[in-house]
Amino acid sequence: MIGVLIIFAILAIVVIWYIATYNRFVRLRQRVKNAWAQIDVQLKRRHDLIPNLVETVKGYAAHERETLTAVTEARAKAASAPSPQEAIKAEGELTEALRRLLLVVENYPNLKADQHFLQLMEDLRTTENSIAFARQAYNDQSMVFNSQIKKIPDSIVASQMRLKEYPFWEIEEAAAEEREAPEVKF
Amino acid sequence: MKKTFWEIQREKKRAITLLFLFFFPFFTFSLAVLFEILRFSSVSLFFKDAKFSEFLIVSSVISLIVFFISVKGSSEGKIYRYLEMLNAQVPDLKDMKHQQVANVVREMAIAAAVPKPRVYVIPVLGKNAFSAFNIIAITEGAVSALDRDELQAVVAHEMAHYLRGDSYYKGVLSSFAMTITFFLTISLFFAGGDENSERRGFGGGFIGIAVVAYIFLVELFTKFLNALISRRMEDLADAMAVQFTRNPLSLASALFKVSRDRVRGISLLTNPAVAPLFIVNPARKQIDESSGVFGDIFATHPPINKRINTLLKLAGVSRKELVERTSPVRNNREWWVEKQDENLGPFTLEELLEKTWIGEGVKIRGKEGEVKLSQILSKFRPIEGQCPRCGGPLFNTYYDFVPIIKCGRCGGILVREDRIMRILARGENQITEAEEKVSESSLEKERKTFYIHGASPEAVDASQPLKCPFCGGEMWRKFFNFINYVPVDYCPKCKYYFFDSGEIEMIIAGVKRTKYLYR
Ligand SMILES: [Zn+2]
Ligand SMILES: [Zn+2]
Ligand SMILES: [Zn+2]
Repeated sequence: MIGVLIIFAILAIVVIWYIATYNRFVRLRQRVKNAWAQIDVQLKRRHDLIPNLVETVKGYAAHERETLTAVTEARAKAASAPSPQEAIKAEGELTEALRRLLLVVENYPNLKADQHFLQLMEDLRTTENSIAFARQAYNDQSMVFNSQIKKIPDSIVASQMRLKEYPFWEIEEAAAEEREAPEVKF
Repeated sequence: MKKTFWEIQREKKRAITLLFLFFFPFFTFSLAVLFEILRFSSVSLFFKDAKFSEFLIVSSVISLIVFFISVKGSSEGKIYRYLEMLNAQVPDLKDMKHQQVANVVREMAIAAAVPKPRVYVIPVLGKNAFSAFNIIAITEGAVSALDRDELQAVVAHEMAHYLRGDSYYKGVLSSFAMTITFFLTISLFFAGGDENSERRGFGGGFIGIAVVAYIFLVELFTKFLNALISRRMEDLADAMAVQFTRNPLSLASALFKVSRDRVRGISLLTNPAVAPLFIVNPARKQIDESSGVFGDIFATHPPINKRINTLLKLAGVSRKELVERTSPVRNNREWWVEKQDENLGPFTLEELLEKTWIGEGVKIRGKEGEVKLSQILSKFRPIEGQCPRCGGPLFNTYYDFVPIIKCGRCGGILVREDRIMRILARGENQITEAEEKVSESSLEKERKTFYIHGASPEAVDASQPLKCPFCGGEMWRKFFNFINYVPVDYCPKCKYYFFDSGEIEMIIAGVKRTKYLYR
């Protein structure tokens, strides 16, 4: 009798563990997917912001035409990229062009006293940050996910669910310098 | 060996899990022992024949019930009522600083891969922030004092609490502690025994003392455990904040600035029910500041210097560099003002527009020579209506990003009522020492007027009320508050204050002085 009870208890524990682990993986996978979706959302947000930004800067610093056209062109290229690989490349160029624009703007102290301009800078800054943070979040989430599905005994559930590792998003050179890349050992 | 924030996170997570695993059986066992004690005392007529194992079952059922009630019942309504009491507002998007708050919250939600929580700004001068359930609130004092990166770090710390659901766990812990106290109090009451009953209880004998000691110890240990878990949660939130921002230095400098806040202890935030939720304990006790033995045992927050040092180690920056970094520097100071034969400056353009004592009578010199206040203001948007004091033109401008309306002739300003606290908070950083001195002495004059006339109409000179520039109604003449007795004008219909030239500086100087009193 007691033997049967013990076996029953062990079985119950295994089932509960399986369900709990399954649910955790579903949750973790959802977070990776959400983080990935945010990258797209934030890139789109940046595309919407650029025409307004370029117009304003033109009003104050018309002779920075070169930098401004570079931004406009990079945006057009990114918006019409035929393949995901090219889109990634074009977005990187756009990031570069915007960074140059920000440097140029530093030379116009009058601009900095202008609330409308400051407003735009804040918009741009939060958009650039959001893109960087969205990628970082995707990498963080997929790293946690990748290491969790390899852990024994949870990996049994993972292989049952046919979970695969997510690839990392390469962070561009300049951005990587600013943000210390996570050194992790699991 | 330098630890990464991932390693710190794993360490703290493990500690918290272990502590929680320990808390549950500890609670159940202490409760069962209590029942056993009660059985010996006079009230136990009901379960005289019960066994200890039965008590264990009863007390585990009780702890389960307490757990579920506190998880389900930890009502957000209480927090909303608290926010309402503090007059917390959603960020005012016309104010760039507030917009930054809204923006960094969105950014950190993205970095943490969680849905965006609700944001509130509490119009209180103390520098602090807290999160509860899906709410992140930050005080005006913190918004004013911290730069964008520092705000981001503070929000990241709160985002970590939000992501982990720490406020729920803290609710569970405190209801366990409350339940224990409840049963302990009851047993203390009954342990005294009943004179008329056949069993006399413990009375004052040796066993009685032992029971009181037991009760005392259990309470103490519960508090200790509570504080221990709470502190590990803070450490974890710091490490997670670094994961989100990848910028340990900004959190270190934010904590550094906040820790030197003079008004922490006197603000409205010390309510013990919410105090553990804040980023630094608002009830500034010596305990949180020192890193001695007692500081480590009962504080809900780790010693702030220990937190700063951990972060500095992650950033690879020395404390000296941190102190240098947080001292303010301002660029583009190119404006000079001549007032009563004194040459004042240099100011930035923004600072120049903030000074209400700059009006028609003072000479302003910039890089291109002498200019008039109205000329500088003319690049801002003029609005309809005239200055209630002198009839001059009015312009939309800013006081350290807080929208205000300024007269181009006399320098007086109109401020919407709900934005005044922000000006007072930001004024602390904007006002110079010389200004403070001048304002202090005019403040002294106002105080004397008040002492001569008392709170009578003469003291505020209400004989000729000003006309509100928006609705045309008569403005009230009243004291701004009853600490500094500065008479100001107020339109009750439009909820706008009018401050004459120099008045806002007087009020800021007054606020600063009262703060020094509490240092
Ligand atoms: Zn905290
Ligand atoms: Zn005027
Ligand atoms: Zn009015």
